[in-house]
Amino acid sequence: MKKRIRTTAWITTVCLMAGLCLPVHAENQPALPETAVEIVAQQQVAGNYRTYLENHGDATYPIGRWEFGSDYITKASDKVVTNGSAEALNKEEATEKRSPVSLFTDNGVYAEWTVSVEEAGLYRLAVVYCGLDGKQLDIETELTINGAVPFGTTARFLLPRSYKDEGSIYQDGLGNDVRPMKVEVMEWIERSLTDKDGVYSEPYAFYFEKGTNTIRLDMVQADVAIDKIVLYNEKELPTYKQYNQQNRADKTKVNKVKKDALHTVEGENAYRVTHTVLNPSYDRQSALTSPQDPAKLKLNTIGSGNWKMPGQTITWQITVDQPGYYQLGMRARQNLVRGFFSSRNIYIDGELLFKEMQEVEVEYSSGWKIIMIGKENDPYEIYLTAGTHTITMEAVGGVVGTSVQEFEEIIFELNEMYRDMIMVTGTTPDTYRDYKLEQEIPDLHKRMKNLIKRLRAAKKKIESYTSEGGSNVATAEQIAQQLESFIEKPRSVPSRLANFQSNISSLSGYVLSLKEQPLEVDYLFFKSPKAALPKAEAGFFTQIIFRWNAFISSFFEDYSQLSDEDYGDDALEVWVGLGRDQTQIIKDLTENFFTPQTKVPVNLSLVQQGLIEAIAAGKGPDVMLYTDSATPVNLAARNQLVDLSKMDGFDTVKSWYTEGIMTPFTYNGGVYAIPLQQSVSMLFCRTDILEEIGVEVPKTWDEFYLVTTQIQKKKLEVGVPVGTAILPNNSMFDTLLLQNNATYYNEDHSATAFDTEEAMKAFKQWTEFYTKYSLDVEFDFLNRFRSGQMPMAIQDYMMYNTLAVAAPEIRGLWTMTAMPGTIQADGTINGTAASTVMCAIMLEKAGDKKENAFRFMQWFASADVQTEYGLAVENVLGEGGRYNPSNLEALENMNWSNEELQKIRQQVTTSEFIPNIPATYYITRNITNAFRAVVNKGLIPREALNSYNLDMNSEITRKRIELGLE
Amino acid sequence: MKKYKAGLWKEVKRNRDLYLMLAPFAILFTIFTICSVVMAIVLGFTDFNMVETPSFVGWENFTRIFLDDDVFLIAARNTLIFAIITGPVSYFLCLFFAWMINELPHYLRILMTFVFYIPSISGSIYVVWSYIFSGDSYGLVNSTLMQLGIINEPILWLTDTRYMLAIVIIVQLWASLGTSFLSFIAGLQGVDGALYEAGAIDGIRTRFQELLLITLPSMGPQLMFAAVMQIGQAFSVGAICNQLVGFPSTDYAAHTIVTHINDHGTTRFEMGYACALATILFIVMVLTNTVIRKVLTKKTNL
Repeated sequence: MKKRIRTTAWITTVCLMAGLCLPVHAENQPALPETAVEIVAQQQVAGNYRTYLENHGDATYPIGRWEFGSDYITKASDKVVTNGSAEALNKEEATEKRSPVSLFTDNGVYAEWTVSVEEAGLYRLAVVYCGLDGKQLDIETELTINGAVPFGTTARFLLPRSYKDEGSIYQDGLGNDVRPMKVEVMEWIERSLTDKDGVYSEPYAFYFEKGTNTIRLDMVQADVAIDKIVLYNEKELPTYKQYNQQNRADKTKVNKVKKDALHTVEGENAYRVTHTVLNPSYDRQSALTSPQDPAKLKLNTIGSGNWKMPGQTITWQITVDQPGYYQLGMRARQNLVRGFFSSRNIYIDGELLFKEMQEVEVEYSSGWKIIMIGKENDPYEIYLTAGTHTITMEAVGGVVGTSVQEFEEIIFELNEMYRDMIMVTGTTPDTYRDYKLEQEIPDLHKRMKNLIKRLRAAKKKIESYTSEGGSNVATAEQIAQQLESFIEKPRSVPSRLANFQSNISSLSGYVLSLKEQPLEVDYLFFKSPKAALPKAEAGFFTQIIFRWNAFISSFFEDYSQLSDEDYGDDALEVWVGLGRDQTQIIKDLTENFFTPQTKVPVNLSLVQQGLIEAIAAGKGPDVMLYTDSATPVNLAARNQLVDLSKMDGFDTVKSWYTEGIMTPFTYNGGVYAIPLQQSVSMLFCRTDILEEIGVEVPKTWDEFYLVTTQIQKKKLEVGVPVGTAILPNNSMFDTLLLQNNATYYNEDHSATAFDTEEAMKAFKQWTEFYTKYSLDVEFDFLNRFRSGQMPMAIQDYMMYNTLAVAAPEIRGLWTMTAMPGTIQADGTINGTAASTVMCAIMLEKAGDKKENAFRFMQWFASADVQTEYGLAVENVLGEGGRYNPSNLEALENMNWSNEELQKIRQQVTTSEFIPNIPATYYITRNITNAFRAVVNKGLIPREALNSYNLDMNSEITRKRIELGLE
Repeated sequence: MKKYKAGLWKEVKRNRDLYLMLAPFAILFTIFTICSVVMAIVLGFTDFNMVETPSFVGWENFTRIFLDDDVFLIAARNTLIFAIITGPVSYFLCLFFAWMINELPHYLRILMTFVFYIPSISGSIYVVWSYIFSGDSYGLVNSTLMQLGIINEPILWLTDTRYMLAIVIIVQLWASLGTSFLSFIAGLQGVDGALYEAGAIDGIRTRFQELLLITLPSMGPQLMFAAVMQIGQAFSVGAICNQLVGFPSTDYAAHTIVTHINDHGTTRFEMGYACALATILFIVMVLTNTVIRKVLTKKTNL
């Protein structure tokens, strides 16, 4: 026995030594620990692709191109039109009619192509498609080959649409540039299936047997016409040297380029973009950015901060007057990711001309640079015919891609290990106790050693790409050292777990930033090799003069003024309680659609605070957009608001929303606001962990409690939010109250209804989360959820996007489902959730402009405008800033995938609302007080609510007397 | 009487350049301070909801404050606690630190002055305290105490009525080393060195004697200035409470008169009542000010 242990120890040591001595080896073929990898492998397509290729290691890549049109479709959903004539595309932009094509206009449909392959081997797969007038979402599809998903798990692929500017950049009344809208272009696009996160810059290769194969595409996001699918393998790209030799040898390629030829195109005048976020941007810093103006805002660049995700592509057109050899260059900068470079694939006329045009790297630089494509001092010479050419630049993951993937796997495993450890120690470990972690988790040290090795290898690899990235990646080394000392001093582990976790989250923040490939372009040019380079930066004095002029003109230019001209008293005065970006979008929409249609001028201002003061001074607006849901009743009780329910067309407006949404704005039978934005809480679960524990996602509270105890048995946590000291949040109480069919007030709102049995039950249930089940009152959801420490929590549904953007390493491992419900007397489940709503109000000050003011509100709240507005906001703010409209039709048009949309719609349409009264402020604060009295001081829930209830009722009575209601 | 008036006018005319120089401040002070104080006093006798015309209600607001407002009593109690603890304690702390720092060599002194003055120039940096006292188990104090094994569950420092007031007082003390501290430093610098020499000859033996008999008496104006500032600060604690423990705090445990005024003026639409409260606070501050001045004038050579 002893001998055996000794032998094992020897072997282990030798293996470890070998591993340590051969870090280079480890780099090429990361040795993955078995247990963790299985989970990762299940989820991470890219990781599986590596093994997939290894399994087909001896397969060949047959060169050639095989196209399969719609006539090869052998099976399809009923809703797929397989012999469509592309009539739907026959709009003015439709480039050419192709027939027959297959049309996919519903999400969730599929089609299967049966293709014959002459030679078994690995093939790239491309799709020739045309986006139909759909959402602004990429077309998303799942691929199945011969009845199996290629890499063992679901593989989703994105096919971007094509957009162009509707018209060119124009100036508003103040002379500032305004962005034109983006419209989808209907044209045929050929695109290979590639990794959507840019981990591999090359398209995926799929294995096909000799003979008959089936290829099935399931549409996750549809609205697309597919002309054909293509299997291909290209000959290897030539190197620049070969390309150039070939060109020079070809006598038909004449060179007539003038010596000083310089053909430029402004970056902001893009011909095509794949994503609507790729909007023109401003640069106000450099005097040389063209066009530039010290006083006016000029849209003079493209890509600032938003051209960074792999797959985002911009195409420009340049016309050259003479055939011959040109050098390609651009004035650009990458000033966002310090110490790193951004990568672009550059296509000329849609083609990669030679190898070096792949993964062209742009180094970090705080200022503008003239970047010539090619070797330093010797830019590539590209042969162009006379006429118009396109330059296409696609953001690609570049060499960092594989590192990112490796880091993501490491982070996932670190989090898993952290979770395994707190499952033993609990989240608040007793420092003086020896948990014997290495016995409880048998392979713990093995996993730690492996991770140390991989962390260092990944760090080394990253550092080899860059000269100055060291400080950012230091966290990796920190974690490695921490793991080392965990192995050395196992008893110190419990007390250092919290720090360990915060290191992991800072590493994941770093990795997230690594993925980004930002680049801002001022202009691109083709120049004669003999022509002089344009200047990158203005001279010192030019720059000083420019900045001075800009400074002086800042006294005279009012950049906060959003409306062009003062229309005087006839104009509607509209205030918006949001940020500048949102207000700008509302202004664009108003000026492009509302004012031309109705001839009603609108003055828009951005005002976040001071509404009451302005009203007191007689300077208030006619309409206020985006105010909180308590304001309408407060102002209505003081005779400042117009009763909208008396306006013509109010019933139509009401029908746009879920029932009962007007409840919070109703006062004395009148309705004083219309809803704009609505958020509702849902349940977020880590499915992988729940599965591991052996429980299902709960649907009722009874199940929720069971799951909670199961999770807590594993020393993990469950989150139910109550806000913070500064921003308390009673929405869980509201939800429980509504699920028990109770509400805040009695019939005529003259007293609370908290003395009912239902209210007591709801309040008790709410406080018991924290007393009986000891849930944390305050917690940081994002970090605990990603580490798995908190595998189940209730959060606002907008958290979905935050998770999607900020926690990529757990994608596919979590789900958002309906709020748990309360079982009713008749056995049904009431799963309603309380909503918070932002709304629009009209003030009495509007006077004889009331009709117009209501028209404006109606217009703005309508489905079309809310959709346009929401999509535009997401355009500017990115996926994390998705809009949550109250208008149900507009909600459908937001960029949700079908699956999520159904859940959200379900939750939103079943939501109910708490009424508001003039004393609402007093009710909410006292509910919070009652809650804290129970949770902090241990009062009995019934007594606490009762005693505060007395207070609330006397305040309600006092307010009612003050307002003359009693 | 008439003669006196004519005399005053003549006086003004004769020194018109001086009055002209005084004008910018005088005008602003009249509009934004004197007028608003007068307006607040007048509005204190009305029922005013901010958006409609106020109506005169006589002493009703004041009777309600003293006879029918439980929260006012809590607020008054808290304000007094604040005034008594943060006022004098902070005043003497300022003096103590200033005295200590004054002994340091030149550059070190500049550095230390800067360090102590930072809390008051950096505006709302006191929000770091909400991280230190976060109710999360990873909050700084909670995690430290939990690691040391002193507590097992995180304490909700900022919502638990037992701890709130103490925490707000600590933060207030930290933040209040501001203007008075700076004026003390200036005052200490301004004391004539010859006095110390004379004192030494006259038989002063300890530094403390020196402080008591020479330094402080020669710093009259600074002491007075600092005291006035300190009173104003101590009675108008409010912003820090709102930022740390919420508005309103749990069971009003850290409610002060200023937060009470804000509560009525903004959230409850009862501007008249808020103005009545402000008037009371104003009177209390003026009274305290007078007392302090009397005391200080007696003790120093002012």
